[in-house]
Amino acid sequence: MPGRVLAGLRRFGHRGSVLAGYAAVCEVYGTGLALGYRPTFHAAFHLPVAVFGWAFVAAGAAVALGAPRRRDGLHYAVAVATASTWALLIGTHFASPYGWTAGVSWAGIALGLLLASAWPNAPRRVRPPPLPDLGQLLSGGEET
Amino acid sequence: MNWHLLASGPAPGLGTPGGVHLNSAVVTGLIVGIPSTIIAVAAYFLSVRSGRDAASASRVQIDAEAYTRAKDLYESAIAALRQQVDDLRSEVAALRGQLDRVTAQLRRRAR
Repeated sequence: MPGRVLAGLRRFGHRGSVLAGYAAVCEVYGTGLALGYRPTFHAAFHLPVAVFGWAFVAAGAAVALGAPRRRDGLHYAVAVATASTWALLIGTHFASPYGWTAGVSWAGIALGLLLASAWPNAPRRVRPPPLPDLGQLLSGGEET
Repeated sequence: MNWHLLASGPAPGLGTPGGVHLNSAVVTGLIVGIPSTIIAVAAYFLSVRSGRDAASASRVQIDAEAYTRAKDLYESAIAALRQQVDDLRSEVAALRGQLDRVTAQLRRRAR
């Protein structure tokens, strides 16, 4: 099972793997928020935290769609936007004495995603065409 | 500092009578929204640029591999041709020796 997961992630490349991992985090965290977990505050902008949970679930689905794609700019933008928005929301709404630590953690996640968005994938190995043998080469490729 | 209180009512000194009423929820929204939008746009452009970099890196790699393979192929062809030239030279030298001997015999007979 871990081998299959690794093979799938290898097919995505490291950019797609980062998106897939972040999508999984969004789904789990968003489900937790929707089910009742509270990050020290219960509402922001007159919206209950559960709404942000469903927003996380939707964002996770949008980010997951970008994992197998080569053009993943919009998906990275969505990922960074959710992480930085949540970091700033926690930073401006926290209600417990050390609630800001969660905001800093999410800011770190946003920074990591921003760095990952700037990393190009390693070039894929292309199977080269077969080499002509010496006879074909000397006869100018007439034998092919 | 109770930052969470920012979202709970109008910010003192920010309201303009008769104009746009800038309450604390709007301020918090701007604090949250503007940096997030800027960072998201930056992530989009960084992704696009890294896609271009990846494409150019794979082109360079393919060119380098093609160059190496072509170099190997042509070097082996040149080595084979050199060997053929050496064989032909030795064959020509042997034939020249035979011709000299036959010429000498014919000259002796003619005398």
